[in-house]
Amino acid sequence: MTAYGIDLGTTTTLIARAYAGLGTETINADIMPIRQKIMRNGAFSEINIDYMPSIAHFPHEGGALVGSEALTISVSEGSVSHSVRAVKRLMGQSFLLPEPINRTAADISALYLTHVLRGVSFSSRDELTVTVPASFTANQRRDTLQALQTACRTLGVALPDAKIGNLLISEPVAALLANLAEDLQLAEPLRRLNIDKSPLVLVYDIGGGTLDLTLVKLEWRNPAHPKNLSNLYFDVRELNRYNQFGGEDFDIEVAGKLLTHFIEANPELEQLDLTDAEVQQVRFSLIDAAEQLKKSINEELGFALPGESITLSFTLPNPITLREREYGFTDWEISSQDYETWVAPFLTYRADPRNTLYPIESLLARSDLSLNDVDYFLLVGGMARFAPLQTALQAAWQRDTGFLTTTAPHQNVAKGAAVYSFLKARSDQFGIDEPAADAYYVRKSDGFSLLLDRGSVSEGDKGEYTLTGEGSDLRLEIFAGESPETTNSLESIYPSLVYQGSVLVPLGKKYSQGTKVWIQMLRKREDYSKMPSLKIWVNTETNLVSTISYNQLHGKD
Amino acid sequence: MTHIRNVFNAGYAELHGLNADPNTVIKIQGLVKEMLETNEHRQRRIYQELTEEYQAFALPGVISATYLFIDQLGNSRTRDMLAGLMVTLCANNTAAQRLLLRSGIVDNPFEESRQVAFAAYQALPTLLLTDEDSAWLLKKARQFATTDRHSAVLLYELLLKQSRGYKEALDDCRTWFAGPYETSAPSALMNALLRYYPQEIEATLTRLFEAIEEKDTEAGKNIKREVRLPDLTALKPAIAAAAARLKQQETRNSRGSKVKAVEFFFEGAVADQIAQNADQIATWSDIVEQYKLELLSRYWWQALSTAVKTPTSGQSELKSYIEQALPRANDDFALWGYIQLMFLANPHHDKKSGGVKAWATQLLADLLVSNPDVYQQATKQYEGLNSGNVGGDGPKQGPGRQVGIKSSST
Repeated sequence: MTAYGIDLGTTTTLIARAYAGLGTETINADIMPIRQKIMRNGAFSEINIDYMPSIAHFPHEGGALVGSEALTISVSEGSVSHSVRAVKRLMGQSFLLPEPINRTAADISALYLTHVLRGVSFSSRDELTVTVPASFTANQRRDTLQALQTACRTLGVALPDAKIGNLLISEPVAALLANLAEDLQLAEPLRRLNIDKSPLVLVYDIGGGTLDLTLVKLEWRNPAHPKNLSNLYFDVRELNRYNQFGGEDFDIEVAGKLLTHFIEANPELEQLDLTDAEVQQVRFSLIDAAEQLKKSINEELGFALPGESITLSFTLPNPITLREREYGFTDWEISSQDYETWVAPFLTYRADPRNTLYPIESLLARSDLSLNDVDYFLLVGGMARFAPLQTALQAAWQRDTGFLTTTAPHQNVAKGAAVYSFLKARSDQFGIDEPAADAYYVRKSDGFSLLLDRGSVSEGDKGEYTLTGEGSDLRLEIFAGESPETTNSLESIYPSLVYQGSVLVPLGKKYSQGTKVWIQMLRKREDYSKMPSLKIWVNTETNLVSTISYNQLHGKD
Repeated sequence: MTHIRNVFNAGYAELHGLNADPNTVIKIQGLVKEMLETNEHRQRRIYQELTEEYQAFALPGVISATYLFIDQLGNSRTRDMLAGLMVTLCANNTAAQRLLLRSGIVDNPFEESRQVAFAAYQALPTLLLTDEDSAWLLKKARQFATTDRHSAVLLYELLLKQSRGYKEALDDCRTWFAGPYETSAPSALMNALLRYYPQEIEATLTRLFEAIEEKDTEAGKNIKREVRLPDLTALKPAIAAAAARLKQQETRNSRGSKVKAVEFFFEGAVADQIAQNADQIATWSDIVEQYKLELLSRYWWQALSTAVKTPTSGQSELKSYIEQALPRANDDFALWGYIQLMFLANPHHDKKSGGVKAWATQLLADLLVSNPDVYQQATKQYEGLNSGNVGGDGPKQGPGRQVGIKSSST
């Protein structure tokens, strides 16, 4: 058995493996290399890389390509409309991406999972965990599970039903697990987190496309038992709503600046009207260039003194071919100050979810807390490596201690997922009880009714309703949104509701208008994938006509 | 086509679905709720914020707000306000228009919300439907044709407006008319076909007449009420289609046998055009006369009779036309005009027609003097029709007509 963890990220996918450490009860985790093709001297050759770009390309002929090979081809002329990236942002939405892709986000995620699992010769004996943002709704979790099931089917690996409910873990909790696994390997005085004090930890996980905040209270389950991960109780107190904001947003913002310079350097482009495919090609190329600029600036800042501005000479890494002519620019002098000015709307406080500081305030406000009440601030995720972001968050933290970063924050999530797999394999009973980020509502003819509150509750109230007309099928339309507890009236949460899908419930026979119906939503405590089910009774409270799993919900029948 | 400076403009490649960025969606939903409830001054500010600050990124939130706040979309003012907002957000933006089409109309499970999005889509000054969008839409329309006719009509309308999908729409429309008539969807699709494919009106109506004759007289009654011609120019191919059908019928059957589909069509769509264009009707009447087809003449005069009873501004013009045309017309053609006047002058008929009855009575008296032969012949036919001994009828008389038909068969 090998314990694997996969970080299925918006911009990159990583796989890690966990194993028993040297000391008793310690667990190590390593990032596994992923075999990919890269372009060298005009030809593709295979090498191992410790991450895979979450990009897929669908050539005119042959099978789909993923990772570095897809990235290289995607920015070449005429290929971009056959490529797709950042599909994680589309999980939970059941539409097909336009031709020629013609696949759902879950289908494309399955390709990434297949590639990385094939690389480690994954088998049914192994244990696996895939990470999702803590704030993913049930729809998004369902799609992630479907992607994993598709990948296993492709690989011919059976996925036991008993495991399905426990395959997903939230990214911030995984990152915290990885940090704790490392910390617990150290002698007690050297540990960065003092769990004896039952600390409150704010995990700030900013990846390529998602900013995920989780507030966790850590406690020993039994202080008398060995102080290891199995004895640790994770009390997840607060989650932010799914926030589609991350490194890619920085890159898009900067790519806009690169575009302006690109046009200035090639004024003849002003005369061109671009096709949709050309628009995509320019976008892809400039976003890719912006990402490289971000990395270069970050590297240079690593050698600079605190507060010092650096300047580098930036050349567009890959010329953009339009109408069989290459365009680019060379040696543009860009300072780190320029860069920070460009992304200032994200780094300087603004009451907007697409800001690095505001979500902290809004999350803590839900529990009437401030940053002063938090004991540790753990910064993880791919974007956590970005020095200007670290500086902005450290300034907000206002303390010399308790601000935790790691040397490879972009690897923490995958490693933590592997650690989780290891712990699951060691004990069937192991699990971390994470609440759902959203409450669930059903639409009625005169508004909405709460089915299941956010948090860890396993059963919603059994609500009583009446049929609005005569019929033998009942249509239920499900929405997710804020908890009514955080507001004064149910109506005031209406703007927070997002449609999740509908289900047609066969009632068994025709019932008349006014017949009573009872509906209850349940989330099984042991099902960590956070996918509730629905129970429906009709006519009498004992006449259960249907139990519907969340997988049966659809956007439109 | 997009100018290179607009490559990163709002919404260009980001608007895949309604929930991709829930924070923005929720923020917009909040603004829309406030807009629906607040005073006009604040409404204008919110409108400005949505269209200028959020631009196309506001669209997913606006669409989903329409199904969150369905209860507040009961009046046309709020619906128009949201549809107008969608139009502004979608103008000249392929991605936004695609989102409006796919998520706002096709995949939107909420009828009221779908109607708002559809109204917006129809009002877009320029539609940027790509070949790929059209192919997808056509596939969806065909799927809906068997499960959800109203949705199919919406999609076909969009396609037909872009000069696409005629053959498929006509096939589905014909199938609907040839089967049991359900809701008004078949007529709605027929109207869209006539409106967006004026060059095919003759072929379209020929298929319609065939389909109705095949099956269901209920459908025929509905076309009288629901099918409409887009404008006066459509009369020419419509008359041609009717003439072809009637000629076929006259060849095949005995004289006088009716073609109900054509008759209903004339009493509905043709009468409507006559009522709206009384000043130009002489030309069209001449065309009908030249066909020298008894049933065509008969249905034309039925349509004229229906139109003259319609209280429109052209009513007196229509009366003048009939007064001048009847004495001059060929006797065979004029005969059916006389008969319709007799129906109009009938003491038990159409008490609410006001001056029409008196006018018809007076005109008949004049015609008796000027052309007693045709008058006598018309009287004979009229009596036959009234007693049910002749196949055919005049203007409908409600439930009494059923009694007449029943007596005839015994």
